[in-house]
Amino acid sequence: MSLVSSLNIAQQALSVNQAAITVISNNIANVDNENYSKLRVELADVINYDYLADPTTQANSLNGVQISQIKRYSNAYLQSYYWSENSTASYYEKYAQIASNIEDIVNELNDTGLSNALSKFYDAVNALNETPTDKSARENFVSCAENVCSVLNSYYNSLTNIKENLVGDYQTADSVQNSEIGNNIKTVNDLLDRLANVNENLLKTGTLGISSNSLLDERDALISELSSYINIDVDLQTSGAASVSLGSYRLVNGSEVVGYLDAATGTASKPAQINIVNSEGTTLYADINNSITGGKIGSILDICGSSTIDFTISGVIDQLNTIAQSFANIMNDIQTGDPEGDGTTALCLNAAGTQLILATENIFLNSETGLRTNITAGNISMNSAIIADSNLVAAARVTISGTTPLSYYQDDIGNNANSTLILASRDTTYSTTTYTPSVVNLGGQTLEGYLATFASTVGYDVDSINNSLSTQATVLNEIESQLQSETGVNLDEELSDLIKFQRAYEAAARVFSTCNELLEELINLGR
Amino acid sequence: MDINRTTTLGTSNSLLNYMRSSTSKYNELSLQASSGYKVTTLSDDPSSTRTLVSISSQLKELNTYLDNMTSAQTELDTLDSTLSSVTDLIQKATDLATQAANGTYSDEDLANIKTQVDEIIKSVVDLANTKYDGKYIFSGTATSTQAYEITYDTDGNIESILYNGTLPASDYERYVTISEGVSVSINANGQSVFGTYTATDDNGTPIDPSDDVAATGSGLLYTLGVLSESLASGDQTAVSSCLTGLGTALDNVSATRTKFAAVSNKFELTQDVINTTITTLKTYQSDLRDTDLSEVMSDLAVQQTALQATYKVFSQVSSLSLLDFM
Repeated sequence: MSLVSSLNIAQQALSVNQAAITVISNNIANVDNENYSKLRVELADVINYDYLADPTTQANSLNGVQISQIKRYSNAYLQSYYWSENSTASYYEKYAQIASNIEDIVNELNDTGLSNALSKFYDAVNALNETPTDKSARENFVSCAENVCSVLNSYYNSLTNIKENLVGDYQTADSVQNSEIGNNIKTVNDLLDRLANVNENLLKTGTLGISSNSLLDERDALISELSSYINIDVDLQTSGAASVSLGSYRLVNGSEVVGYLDAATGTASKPAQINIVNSEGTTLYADINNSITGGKIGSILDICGSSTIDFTISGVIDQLNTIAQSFANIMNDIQTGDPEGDGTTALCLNAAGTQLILATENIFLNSETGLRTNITAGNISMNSAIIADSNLVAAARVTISGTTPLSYYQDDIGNNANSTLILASRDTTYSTTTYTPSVVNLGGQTLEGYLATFASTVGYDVDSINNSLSTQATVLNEIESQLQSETGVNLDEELSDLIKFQRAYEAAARVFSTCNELLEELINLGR
Repeated sequence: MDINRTTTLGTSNSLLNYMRSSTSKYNELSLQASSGYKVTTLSDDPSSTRTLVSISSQLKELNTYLDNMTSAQTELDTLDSTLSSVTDLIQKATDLATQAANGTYSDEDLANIKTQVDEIIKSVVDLANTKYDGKYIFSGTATSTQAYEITYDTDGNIESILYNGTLPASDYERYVTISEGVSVSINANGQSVFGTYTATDDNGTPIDPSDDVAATGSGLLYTLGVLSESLASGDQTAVSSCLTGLGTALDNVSATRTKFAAVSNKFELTQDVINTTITTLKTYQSDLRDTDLSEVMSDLAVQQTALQATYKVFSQVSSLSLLDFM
């Protein structure tokens, strides 16, 4: 009886070691799978004997080995730390990527930027100043002024394009939903569905068995991906099912998705409004934008928003608008007004270029309204009358009075007092009090000074985002490697385990054959 | 569980990270070495971005000033050589007037001298109508208007020499910007330098001096006109009184030349200052923006060694396996 029992124990050992080798082969197969958590067979002896019995009875009642559990290497604390840091890292990664695109657009260190266009413009003014009667100098002035407009326009358009690709046109629902943020939200909703599905299976199977381990791996992978889009809070239940919330809003509850995200039309300052809807599309909570602080979606909302602290596209555009409006005001006031307030009047040439006449045409206009008010980087354009006749650019400036009417000056076509004033404006600093009739406020800087400050502000902002990103990436790498060291597969470890189980198998086989020989002996004995 | 457990994937991931950061540093350095710039985007070195953008527009502005002065200097040279010729002509007229005032010349001699004086007047007017770069330099801001018009009566005597340019009282100056906020005038007013002249109107024949309207005008041209008239009428007292006027005119021309010589001097000084500034700014710009090649090359060599080491470690660690010993 006990020989048969030994045979049974050996046979049990054979199958347990075989199972352990199967687990090792599964580990080795997944050595390069980032989402895989190492499994390990935990063994226990089968205790089935009477402690009070005599030793022989005890020995005869030993029952061999069994697999007590297949342990999945995991660390819930590190895993959820990883999810929250991954959210922040994805946020900065996206932020830095967009910011670097913006930086490339307004790269004033290039020879193609606005500061170069302004230099060329002032060169043209200088040439005009030298020979106010020279038609080619005037044409050159017009084309250089147009160039300033087109650089500003192209900055504006490129920035607006970036914004539209990210969040679409805030007034049209279709446009918002087909933009990058709309597509990201579709991905998030898909991930929520898949996670609910995994949860459902986990609730069915419970935490035991190899099949639930692969479900847990899938669950973790889905939540990791989800955390790269939005900031989430994860609530792990004993069944292994994960409930997911965004801020105070529950999105997945067990096997059910209770809240989907939806991108709706927004306002100029909030380009897209994010709502939480149920599976029928009914809005449960409107405008939860403030709750989204992480992930790609969070960074898109922030950089397209109107925060005065963060680096935003609209902040960059605002500064460009200030440059455009100030430049246009300065030039228009010199062209048609009396910025110095000394009672002088600007004069331009008549069409034939033979006499001075009053300058009445502004140089720069708002292309949408045809007026000189509300000029932005997007709408600044040359007055078509000036383009048609460059003689209308005022180079002369005189004091007109009763005794010295316009006719008194009409032959003084070489007068360059006005173009001299334009040149002087290059080195004039502007704050609210120094300029009339238009208000030009460049914070006490010159126009080019303001531009240089703008460029360096963008530089500082982008640099600080890049720094945040690299700090965050280091943190994430650290957690990733910690997590990997907890859950990953080490080939050498597996190989040594493999040898161990192989030897145990061999030993069990030897026991089996020994018992077999003993049994055979016994049978022969009875013959 | 042991926190120092190293996994196969973890090891290769962290090696890969090191290799990535080494490669990116290496690329950055080789980019710096090949482009010659260490700052190419706004965020490369935000603290110097503002300065770099400012310096580049400042350099362009300063070069404009230099160009302005070079071109204005040529105009000033034209002005000066014109006035120098005028000085010679006044000298010649003074010599002729001194001779004529001697009292020993016959009427025929005086008529001869008058012809010479008329020639001088014509030359002075030609000089006053000098053009530079298509502009009449003595017409003030009416640069396309000829400064002086000379008219003759039927006998070939000068009737009037009138100034058509911008008047001295008006804004006749043309300005050139020579440095930040500094613009200087580079033209002399024609009427201030040469004056005007309208001949005595003898109000018909026979000549009755009592109803004559006296000659009018001012400055050099008036004196020369009166000299010509006096020579024609043989009035030697009047001829000799013209000498004072010629002396004043000479002083006036000299004063104008001195004034613009001072402007030229100012140009020279300003050019020196600007050239020094440009050198300083370029040095500064280069310090901020340009790659220090020797430094970058040595960094590059260090980085290359580091990268090679990483490659070597990677290949060694990857080939390390318990399998080799089984």
